[in-house]
Amino acid sequence: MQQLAQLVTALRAIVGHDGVIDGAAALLTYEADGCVMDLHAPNLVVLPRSSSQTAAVVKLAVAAGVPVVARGAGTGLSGGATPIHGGIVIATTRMDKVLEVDTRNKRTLVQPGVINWELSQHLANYGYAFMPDPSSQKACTLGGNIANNSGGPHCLKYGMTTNHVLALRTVLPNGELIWTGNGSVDTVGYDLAGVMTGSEGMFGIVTEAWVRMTRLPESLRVVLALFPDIPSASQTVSTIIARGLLPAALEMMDKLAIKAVNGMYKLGLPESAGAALLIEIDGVDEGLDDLLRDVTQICRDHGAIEVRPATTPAEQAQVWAARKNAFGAMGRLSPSYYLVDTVVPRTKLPTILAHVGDVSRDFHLPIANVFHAGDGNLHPLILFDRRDRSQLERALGAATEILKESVRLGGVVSGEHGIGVEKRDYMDILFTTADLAAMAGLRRSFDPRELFNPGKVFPASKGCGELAELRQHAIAANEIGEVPAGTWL
Amino acid sequence: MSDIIALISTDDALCHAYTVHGVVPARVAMPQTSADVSALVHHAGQHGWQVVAWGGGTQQLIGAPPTGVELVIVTTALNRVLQHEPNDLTISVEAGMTMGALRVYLAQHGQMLPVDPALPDQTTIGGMIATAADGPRRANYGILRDMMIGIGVVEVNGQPSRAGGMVVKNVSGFDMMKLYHGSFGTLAVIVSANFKLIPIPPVTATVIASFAQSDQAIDYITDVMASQLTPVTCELLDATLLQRIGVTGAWGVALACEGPQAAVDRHMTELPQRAQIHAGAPTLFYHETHTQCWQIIADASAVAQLATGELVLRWATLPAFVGELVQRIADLGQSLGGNPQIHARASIGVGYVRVTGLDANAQNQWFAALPEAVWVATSANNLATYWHAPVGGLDVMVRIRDEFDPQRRFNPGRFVV
Repeated sequence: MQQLAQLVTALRAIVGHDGVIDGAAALLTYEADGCVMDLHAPNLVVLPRSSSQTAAVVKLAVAAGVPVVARGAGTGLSGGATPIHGGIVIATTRMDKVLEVDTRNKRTLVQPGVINWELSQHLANYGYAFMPDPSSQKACTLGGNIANNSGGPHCLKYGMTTNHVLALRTVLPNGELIWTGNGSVDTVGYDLAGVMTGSEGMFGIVTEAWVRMTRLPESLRVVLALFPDIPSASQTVSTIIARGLLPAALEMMDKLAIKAVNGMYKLGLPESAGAALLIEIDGVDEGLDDLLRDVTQICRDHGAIEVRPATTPAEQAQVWAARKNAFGAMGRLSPSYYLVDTVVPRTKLPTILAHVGDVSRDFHLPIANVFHAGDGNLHPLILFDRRDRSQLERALGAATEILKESVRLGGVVSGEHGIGVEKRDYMDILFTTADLAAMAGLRRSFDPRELFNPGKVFPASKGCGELAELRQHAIAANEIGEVPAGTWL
Repeated sequence: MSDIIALISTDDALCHAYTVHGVVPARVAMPQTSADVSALVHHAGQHGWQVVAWGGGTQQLIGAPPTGVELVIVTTALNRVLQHEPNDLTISVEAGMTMGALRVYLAQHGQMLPVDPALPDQTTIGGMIATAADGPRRANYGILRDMMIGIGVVEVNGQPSRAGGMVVKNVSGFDMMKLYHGSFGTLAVIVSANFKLIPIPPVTATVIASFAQSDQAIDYITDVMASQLTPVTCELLDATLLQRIGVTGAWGVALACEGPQAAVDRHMTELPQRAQIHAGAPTLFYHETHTQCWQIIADASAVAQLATGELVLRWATLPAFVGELVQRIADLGQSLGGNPQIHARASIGVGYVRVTGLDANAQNQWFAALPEAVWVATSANNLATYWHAPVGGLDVMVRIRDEFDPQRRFNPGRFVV
């Protein structure tokens, strides 16, 4: 306790009195992110204003042997920002500036607390955008996007966050402050920016980032196609992908989701529709109408009931708002939901969606689907009432069933939300001990004491330290352990 | 284990054929499967052998000569497609498959992996990953780093491990693909990789605009970059390379366009018009001539064989500094000699310079004078240093190497760590 008081004093000397939160009630705000299955309050929250303050805070924390957890807006859905072993949460809230917009080099320098949506609004003034656009973009921060390698609807054409990161200024777990590069596309040595992106706050805390700006397309077309059922919409997705039409986004909503957004956004969609596809294509104006005609034809060939082009920017914005806020609209249907993030090879969409329907029936819980169909990235929303213990247990059981089926179909356990605490015990369904041990070795290179975001990503039963030690021993003894099965090795 | 020993040859001629950057290996092995690679690396571990993986051998002159090579593992027999579901637009291939073979295979399905390296019929996928190989279309599509969705490797004790998967979007675990990409064989032997694919565009065509002065060419590039046009390449070419394509001029800008007919037509109209504004003379290329000129440009960065006194540098800078850097390289030619040949993926700020006829002293001066160099390739082993210091994070890079290859048996001495 006395040690904590000393730490608070030392931290306040760095970040000022109001830069340290230590009141029990205030700390409760930080006990979870968007994933509320596992809760744990931090001992302290620190709000640095700069890279050097962050480095100084980290040095103090590691000297005291206290865990450090980075936090942006806390919109993550896998518990990545939940301090499950307590310690210090470093919140990036006060590092929220766009420091430079460099149109000539198509890059922008941002602090980690900049909100994704605000960055794109700002860049739009110059005719550019930061392309990754998670559904939480109105609240989520760039730092969180980088930590989770976040996605979003437009990742189908433009790639994930990792494809948009040029260089990171990072406080490593030993307190060292480094730049991974100078913002040019190649660097000397290992690709530190590449491995840090998506490392869920376990390799360092990003304090500044050079990210790519993408020129806004000259033109775009948005179409909303309604289908009688999920299989016909899924087949349409498969055909569009297979025909190589390369949409900018290809999103699906099922009957339940349509019902929820219809009520909230007055879209006037027929409630008889079993599925809706939102398709966006972009590029130079020439050729887009031909492309739109092809897309529309594919929809009709697969039994679309109605194909509605959204022609004006206002109509397009309305359709997109319905999609991006669909999760919020679920509140109209149920007091809580469990949003499961999983990916399957795109041709397996009809199969997995049929399975999701079975799971819904077997577990007696409604499941809505709103997801990035073009990527095969599912987001079943299991609707339940968390006050009812039986419903909570069934929701967790249903999620497990869906994830196992995804892996069985050649998929993985997270497409864009990350592993965090939520999915850590699914990692060994997907990976062998050797696969996980290599990841543990990499983590140990950055953080041998495992103080940065401990307890994440690795299964509770096979902790990072144990895996890394196993591997070091095997390497020293030149021993081969388990050899993975599977077709691609 | 006797099987494995049968794969290893000490034949003198064979060992000489696989000379690694001037170092003749003691042994060469030709594994037929990834299991063979695992057994070979494990066997090498038992004897403490230093190991170099060899794909097409087209990039072995990059970086420093290894400090020793006890075993070269040639991956070219690992040339199979492991998994390909055309409608998923994903593929898993063995590391020894050449880019050319993969291209031919995918073309049957109307698909492509949009990377166009030098010498595609020799360059293997594994070699491209290990050396972060690029090509002109990097300007739009990126490099294998940006398309790799999974990887299979053999670690230093022979242990196989994997990361990623066969889906196009995946954050299940750390991005080990990025770790191995560009690690120059120092962390593991790459045995397979998975990629997302895209369809071959219906129409392709090229505009090459030639200019009398480099600043006209740079102004043209700046103009195109700021527009909403979407050419998939943007190469700045010097007179030598232009001439090889059959275009005259001091400088050229080569822009390839891909997509639906109407979109390509728009580019093929507007790009020449914009070139003329900057006093450029446009030439248009379609069909076979389009393909031929891009292979010439891609091959301009080849380093498979270098003459004595020949040096190739890959450099990276900010796009805005390309003009200035190109001028500096020309000035260096004046003071250090070597008749520099230059081309650049100008819109993203990456380029190559090839200089010839240099003595050891001049080679060292060239390298020292270009801090933008990300690597240097040379046939000689007389450079004082082969890598510039990383911008940051050298200590953590050393710790990564310590975890993955503590005894420095993979490509020892070759890389920056």
